[in-house]
Amino acid sequence: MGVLKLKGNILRYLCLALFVPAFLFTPVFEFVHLVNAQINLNTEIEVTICGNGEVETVNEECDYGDGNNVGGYSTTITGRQCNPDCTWAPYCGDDIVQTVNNEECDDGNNEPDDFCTAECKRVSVVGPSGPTGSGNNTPGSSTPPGNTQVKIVGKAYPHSNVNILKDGTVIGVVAADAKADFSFTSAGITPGTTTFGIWAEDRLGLRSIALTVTFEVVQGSTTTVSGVFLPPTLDLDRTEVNRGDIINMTGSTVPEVQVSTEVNSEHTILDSTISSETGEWELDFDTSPLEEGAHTARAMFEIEDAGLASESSFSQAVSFFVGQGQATIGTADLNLDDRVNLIDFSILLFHWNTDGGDSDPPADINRGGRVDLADFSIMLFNWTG
Amino acid sequence: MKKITPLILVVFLLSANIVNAASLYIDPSGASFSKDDTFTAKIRLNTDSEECINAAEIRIDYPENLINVIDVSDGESIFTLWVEEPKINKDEGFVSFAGGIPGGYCGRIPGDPGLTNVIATLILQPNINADEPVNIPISFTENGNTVLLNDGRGTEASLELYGAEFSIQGTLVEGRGEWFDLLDEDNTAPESFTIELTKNNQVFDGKYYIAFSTTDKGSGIDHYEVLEKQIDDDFLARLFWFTRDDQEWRPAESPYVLRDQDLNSVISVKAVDNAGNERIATLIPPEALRKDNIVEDLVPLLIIGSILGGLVLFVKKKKQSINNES
Repeated sequence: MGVLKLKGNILRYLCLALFVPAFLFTPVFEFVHLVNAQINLNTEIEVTICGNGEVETVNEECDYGDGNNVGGYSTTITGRQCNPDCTWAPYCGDDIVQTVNNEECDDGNNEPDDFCTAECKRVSVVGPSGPTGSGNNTPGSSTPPGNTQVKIVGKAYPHSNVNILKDGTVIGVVAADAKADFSFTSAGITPGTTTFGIWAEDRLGLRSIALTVTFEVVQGSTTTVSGVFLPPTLDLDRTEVNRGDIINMTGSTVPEVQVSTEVNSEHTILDSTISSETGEWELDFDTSPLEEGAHTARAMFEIEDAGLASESSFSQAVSFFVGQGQATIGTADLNLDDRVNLIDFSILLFHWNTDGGDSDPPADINRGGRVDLADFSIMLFNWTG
Repeated sequence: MKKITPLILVVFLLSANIVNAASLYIDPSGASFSKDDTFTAKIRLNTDSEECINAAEIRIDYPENLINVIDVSDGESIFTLWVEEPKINKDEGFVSFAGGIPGGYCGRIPGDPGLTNVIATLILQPNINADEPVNIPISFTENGNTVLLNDGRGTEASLELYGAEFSIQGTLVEGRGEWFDLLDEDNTAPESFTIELTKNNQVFDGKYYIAFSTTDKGSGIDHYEVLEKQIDDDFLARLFWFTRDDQEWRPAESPYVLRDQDLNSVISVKAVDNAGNERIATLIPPEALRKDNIVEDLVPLLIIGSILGGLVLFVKKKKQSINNES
């Protein structure tokens, strides 16, 4: 490249030298999964499609079908319109006074004989003071008909930043509130098979695994993915202990929920605690029942909402060793930039099907002697985008 | 053009429900086609409801004397990263590839309007002309397929494999078949993407390289091309634009080692799908990383100086000789 540039420059300056006299007189122009898991998972991630003409579960109030959810104000209950996000557009009779649509009152009906008329005008008022008319057709949303949207709703950690990935690439970061609830909407999604990944970092700096959902995005519809519950974060105060030592497990999750932990051994050991008002949880685990060797711990939470119990999936499995030894799985962050993304993948590809050479951290993540599919799998598990 | 054999399909669907941790199957499992027809066979993956998978290595055998695999599409694939791009071995009659999905795939979720479990799509074309139906088996190579759990340890999932058998009879009467119809309909460009510029002492001898990846929701990514175009940020470069070392689009794979290690070029990556739709991502290297080569800048100046000096001396001498003569 350097040689090429040098040649180019020489040519330029030669041209300059040869044509300088002419230019002097010319104007110049410019230009862990545990196999014997004892806890029964009941994670309820659900997809609803706004625009398919069916009112689905709690995420939709209405659905008039593709292209018909155009929103707009209605002067009657029977004529009310559906917004592109499948919520009701404003209407006279919705119990909300919409002054922008010239409503003077709204008693939740279209009855003419009460204090508010069927057109949402005050009966006692003689002559309206504001502009009259049947109201403007103000769309309830700026989303044009035909736009393809995906909405993701779930729980992470209080006041955490939730990263949203589409097909492995971060497309947005949204903040969870004090109750750990978050909601993210992305417009302009290309229809077709799409994978969304969701992960967050809690206030202790601990990261969740990326929870993923893969589904068919339908053109011109709003697809809502609800029940995206990120599992608790989990950290151990030490990873090498003597049998009988206490390991302190800490992490974050949704406030005031039951956190269940699972430690793998000859027999899986379960325990549980309740998270604090701010979402932190802590549990002392007695290693006496464990045999010497490598073990993993992981956590999940259970929540009850409107009488229905739901559970998150499991957190990542954190390894520890009872006795003398250490965990064999290394880091997937091969360039140590605190992210696992395309750059780490490129390093893995460079060493693909070799022993990993002198790579440090080793591209042979599981120390299996070869950079292979298992190392790739570990990297994908830890992917942050 | 395509007739799915109902009995085979029913038997298959019943058997496909018997899922261990994961099962790979070909869809459709049976159908009739004609010679020269181009049809698709999807490689699909089912997972146990409590298992998530994130990587797979696939190898499929086909009778190369009876049928051609003309392409492998990742158009509807749940996989977004490929460690081994699809390879068609026409001599030995097998197709192989390996890829994965960050965060894992945990099966179809309630409410999803699609099956959403395609790993790749084989584009097939029978190359025999048969008066009587000829059966063509497409099967997963024994011990050649691996699916790994998304458990952070690379644990192998227990796997069940279901191949397919197609029947060939007669010759295609009209059109070019399903695959070319799909290409004609595909007018969606690959997804937008970004270019990662980096260097690492442990790879490519510490040279700058780029990494990139995208997906295509239609016919699938066919290939990538890279263009490194010199940044014309000085007066002389603009004035003598015709002397630029403009590079051309070059076929490329990620990771790609940059030719211009001084980073004085605008880097563009073009993703092209199987229907020819393109998406271009561009990266201008940060000013702080660009390298000014002082020697390169001084040499041309010295050359100009010498030429100008020579011209001046020549003119002076000429004038002197004219004066002397007169």
